[in-house]
Amino acid sequence: MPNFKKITLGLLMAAAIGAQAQGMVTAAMGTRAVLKAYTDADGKSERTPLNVKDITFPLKIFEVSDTGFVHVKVAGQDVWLDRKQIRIPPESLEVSCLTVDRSSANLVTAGIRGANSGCK
Amino acid sequence: MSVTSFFSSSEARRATKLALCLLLPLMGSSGRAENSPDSAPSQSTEAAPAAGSGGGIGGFFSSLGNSIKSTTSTEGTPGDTTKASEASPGTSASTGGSGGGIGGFFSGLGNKINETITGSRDKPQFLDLAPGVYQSSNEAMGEQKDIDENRITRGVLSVPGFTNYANSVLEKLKRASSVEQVPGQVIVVANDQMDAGATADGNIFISSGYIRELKNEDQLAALLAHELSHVLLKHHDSNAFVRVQKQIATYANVGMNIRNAVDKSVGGAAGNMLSPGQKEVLQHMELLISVSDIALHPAWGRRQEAEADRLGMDLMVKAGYSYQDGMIPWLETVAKWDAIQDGAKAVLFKKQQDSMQALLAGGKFEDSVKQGLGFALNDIKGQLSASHEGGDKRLNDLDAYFVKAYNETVPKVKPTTSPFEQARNKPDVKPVLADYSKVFQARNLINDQKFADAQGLLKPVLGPKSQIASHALPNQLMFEALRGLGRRKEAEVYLSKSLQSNNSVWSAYDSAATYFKDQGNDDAIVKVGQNAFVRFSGAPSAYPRLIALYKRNGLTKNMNAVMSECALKQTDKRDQCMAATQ
Repeated sequence: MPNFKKITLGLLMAAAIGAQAQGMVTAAMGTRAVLKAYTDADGKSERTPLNVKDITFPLKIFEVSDTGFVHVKVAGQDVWLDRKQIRIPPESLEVSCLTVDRSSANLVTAGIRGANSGCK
Repeated sequence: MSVTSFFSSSEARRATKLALCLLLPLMGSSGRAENSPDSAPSQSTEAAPAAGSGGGIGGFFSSLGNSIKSTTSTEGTPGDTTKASEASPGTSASTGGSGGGIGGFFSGLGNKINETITGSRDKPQFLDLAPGVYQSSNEAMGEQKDIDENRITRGVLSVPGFTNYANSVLEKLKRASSVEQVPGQVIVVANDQMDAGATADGNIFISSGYIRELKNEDQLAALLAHELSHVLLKHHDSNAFVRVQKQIATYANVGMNIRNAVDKSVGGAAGNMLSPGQKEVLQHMELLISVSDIALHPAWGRRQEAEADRLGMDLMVKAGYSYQDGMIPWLETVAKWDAIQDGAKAVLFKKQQDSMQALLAGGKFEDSVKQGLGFALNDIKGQLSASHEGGDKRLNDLDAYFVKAYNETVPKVKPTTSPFEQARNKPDVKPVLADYSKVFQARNLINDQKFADAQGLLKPVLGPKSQIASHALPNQLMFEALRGLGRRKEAEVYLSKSLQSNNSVWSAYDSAATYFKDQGNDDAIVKVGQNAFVRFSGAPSAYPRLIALYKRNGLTKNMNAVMSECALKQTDKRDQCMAATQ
């Protein structure tokens, strides 16, 4: 008979830690000189802030919590950073310029507020 | 009818006033030239101090200001700076410039643009919205024409399973704005790249490529909130500025020709050719139009983008969406897309450099210099006229806003993922988007004359199980593929289906015109053009398309007639119409 208690616990843990190893932290957001750092996935236990100039980017992401904190290693130490203070670019995009209507690409943004520049 | 009577709002009146303020002094100075065509333009003998602080768009305007001051007389142009500030709300009356006149105006404007664009703000952008009933934009063209305009330039996709869902998100954001009766709906366009935009009618167009790229409802809300913000902040009204300039230039041109014709008919000697002085007036006008097109208007555009990002964030947060899982990843995606574009641009630039090197090696110095200048000019133009800051800069600016206006505190909200995934995977959405991806690939294969490959790709898309078998674009492309393979009889069936489809595309009419050209039937080509124009409600972009259709098929007289109408009625499409005649 399967151990339902174990399975339930496993599911709960999976829910608490939203996702595993998604991309890299490439920089601090904006012009921040320091980043807040935490020892837990919910940002309840704050530790000494990190000086941005002392961090060697990119940082590999090990986990992302549902509450918006990102698990990385800085100088060998495990820390959780606030998602709002760091840059995490997508590794790749699904869209490409291969399927753009090249005949009218230069017409795409005319007069349209917010339109991207397209594959020109 | 006077130019100003087209508009009623204070913004449009201010724009007209500014355009007149910019143009009339030049007309005056050229008037002197007209009286004495041989006289050299008066030179400013005093070297203007560099008013700009630093480079960028502000530096450009400072240099331009000085340049204009040295090539035009600025006598008798008092008060330009005050008027200028009226026309561009947000840029203060103080110019900080060096002297008056047009040159001073641009110098001062350069400084203010630098300050305004790069500055942040510590109060919510939301406070700029006036609650109450939404007042329509002067630039609105009417819902059907607006949709047809985008049908021409982008192609509209029917995916109700997704648009209904996206419209429910849009409604939440509209409610959060406290502005009532905001018009517009979400419409999906057939475009596989990341492309979205809002029109003056309030409609928000998002590409099928964008739908594939977004990851949750919060990211969709971020995109829609940004576009809705353009509508709420009436950003489209600034289009009037450039258009009025072009209208004045066009009317001046027409007026001068009429006057000359009258002079001739009453025995004057001028004839209907423009005099050197008249030409100079028009050249000055064109210079200002060019400045507006490549620098001033796009600079406003960048400021508007920053405003839309800030208000978009406010609306998202108010509507209960996640900043960290919505706004930030959406802008990260935009930044990635920008980086890809920059990479493509670098490759193009390398190719240009290589071809210049080849010319140099071949001893063709003059050609090489010309080409190099051409590339440089295009690059500068491209950078100046980009109406968007890159995603990186936008993220930085938004972070500054998050710090100053929000004190880094927003409600913790979990992202909404399941409803988004469900909407995207609905049976009337997912297969349609997947099939259109194949259609886009087929279009490029046809452009590359790989007709057999294109036909193979299109065959299942037009099969009995496909939801887009009756759509205009795949049928038109199948016509082109079969025509390319020399199977004309088979091809006709698909052309007919394409033209009968409810969701028309302009290219179907282009194909029909080519079909009749093959038969030498010029009358039928004219009818095709007329039908296309009517089908797309005479929307602005129908003009350059129709000109191109007539041009391609050798109907010069018809092309010129449409060109004249475009110059008078669709001044903001004037450049596209002109390009279509080349």
